[in-house]
Amino acid sequence: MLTQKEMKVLRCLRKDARKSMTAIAKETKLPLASIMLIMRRLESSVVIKYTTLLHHAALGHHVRVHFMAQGMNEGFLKNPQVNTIYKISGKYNYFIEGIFKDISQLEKFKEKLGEHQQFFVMEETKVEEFQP
Amino acid sequence: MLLSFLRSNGRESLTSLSKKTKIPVSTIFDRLRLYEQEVICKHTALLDFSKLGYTAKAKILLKVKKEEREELAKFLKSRKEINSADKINNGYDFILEGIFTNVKGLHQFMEDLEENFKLEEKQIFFIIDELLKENFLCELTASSPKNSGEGI
Repeated sequence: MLTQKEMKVLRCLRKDARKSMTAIAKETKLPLASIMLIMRRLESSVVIKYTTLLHHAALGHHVRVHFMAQGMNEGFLKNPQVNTIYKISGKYNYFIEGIFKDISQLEKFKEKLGEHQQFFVMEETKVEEFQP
Repeated sequence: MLLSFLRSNGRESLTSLSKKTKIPVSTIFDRLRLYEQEVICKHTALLDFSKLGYTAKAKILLKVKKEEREELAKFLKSRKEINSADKINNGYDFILEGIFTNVKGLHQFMEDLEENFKLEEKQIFFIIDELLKENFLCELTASSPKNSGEGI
């Protein structure tokens, strides 16, 4: 389990991963040297990666689809259209999130996918907002 | 290309981005400001929540009556257990990603949901393993995401 100080830093990074160490030190009221050490500890334990979340439609990727699929092969892990893959329990075995330029790119992608159910994303309501 | 590097490592320093893209630091700075207004949703740290004591993660599909959709969206925005939520089609209205301390927490959330809304359909899929997360447009040759640098 993390200490209170570590949790403070983690919450800062969750809110804005590009915040400078100096700004994090100011916000958490912790010394700059501690921030460096804490970040290293967090990065070797709970931080999977720092990333930038995008409005994909603004970049011309207008089709975002969630698939519930029975099967999946290794190729999907390297497929450039795939954003996220989870192994899930229940009626389906995999959750796959794909992002596409258009429907024809989506249709090509689906040829490789076996039995599945698809859900088009109409609107984003909330994105990566969970704060531990 | 700049966005691909940031997708792989959201904390990559401007200097390092400049080296990798061969674009001057000042241009990178300006572009980043512009992208933050137009295409960047946010810079964040993706976490292994199981290591933080959250043992139940689930994808939840929900369908409610048309007149309840807006209210449900507000409810989902207000619930801290809900990490992400999308409005969808094909027989359901929302797909959620919930993060809970344990299965009891998930059941409590579902009970709260059913107390406030008349659910027409629901399906819960527990997440067993995250095989890939936020990988779209990631630059394959980017440096390790664990190389945090100083940020902006």
